[in-house]
Amino acid sequence: MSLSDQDYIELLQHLQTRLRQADPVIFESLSDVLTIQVQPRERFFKYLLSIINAMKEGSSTSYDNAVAKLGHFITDTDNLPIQGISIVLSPAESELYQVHEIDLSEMPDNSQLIDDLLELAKIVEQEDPQ
Amino acid sequence: MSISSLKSRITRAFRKYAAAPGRRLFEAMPRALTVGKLYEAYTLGLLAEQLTLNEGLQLKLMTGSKLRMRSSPGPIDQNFPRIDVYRQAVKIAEIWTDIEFLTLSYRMRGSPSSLTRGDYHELDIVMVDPNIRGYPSCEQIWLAVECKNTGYKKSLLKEILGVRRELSLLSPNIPTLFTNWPSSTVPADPPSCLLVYATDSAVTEYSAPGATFGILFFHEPIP
Repeated sequence: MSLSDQDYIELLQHLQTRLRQADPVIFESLSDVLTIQVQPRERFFKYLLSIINAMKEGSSTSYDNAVAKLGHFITDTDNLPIQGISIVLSPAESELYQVHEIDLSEMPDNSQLIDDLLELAKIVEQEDPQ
Repeated sequence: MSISSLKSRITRAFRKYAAAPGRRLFEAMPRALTVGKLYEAYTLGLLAEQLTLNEGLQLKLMTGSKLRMRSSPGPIDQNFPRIDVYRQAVKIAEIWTDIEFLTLSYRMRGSPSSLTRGDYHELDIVMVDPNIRGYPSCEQIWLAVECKNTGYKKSLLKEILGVRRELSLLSPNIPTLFTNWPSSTVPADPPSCLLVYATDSAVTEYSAPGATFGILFFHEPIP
């Protein structure tokens, strides 16, 4: 099945709607991708890839990779690898978010959505190779 | 597969995502505070890798076994993580994150006693002379790093050119405090190395002015 420009526009709109509902912050951060002057097929794939990248950046897998990299090359005073990463909030932020410190080891695991979106990209590619 | 099947697939994927546990706290926070800081930490790891392998340095976190990063920038503060840098067992420098430095223009105005908001700028990661307290001056900076996990745009290039201007004057090449990496000389006085790490591959499209002003650009997404 070959997809028309209109099909890609519809798919992109659907993707945007679902992303906005599920994660308004990432939705906002990707608004620039929609302004790129390209054909609907390419815009759809660029947007899909941007979502996948944003999900990867904010996932527990990225956290594990960051800790592994730090731990490999920086030790503590007992010569042990660095064990974790956290963010200490300012007093104003602490008051706003009701938390003093964010332990990044609690970052969500986005791998399911990443896999689902990669699978979607693969299916669309197979349906409409170019 | 029909368009409606593809749409259903998208709907199901996001439904599962929205229902996944552990998202609530992170959803409420700006991405700059969570994902942005994670990227800074990862970049620190990349930096540590290069300094270890290409410069022969050893890095030691002096404040516990966890990297507890500050959310907002400020002067050097002993309550936040300090990484001591050793060359052949001799401490030569310190690495800090989210530090504001005193600008070149501030020094050129005679370092007046009261600071204005334009007299200091944030750097995501700095390597500086040991035992500095408060705001480091541009002469005390060995290495400065900006980390960008957003789309790389021209405004970010203009920003880093401004940082370079407030760190150093353009000059014929001067030796840095490094033997190999990031660079043994820079066209800057004081001779600090200035690096930009970005997740967006577009960063390479903006890197040409760096050759003139001594800024190195790296495209490094977290794997």
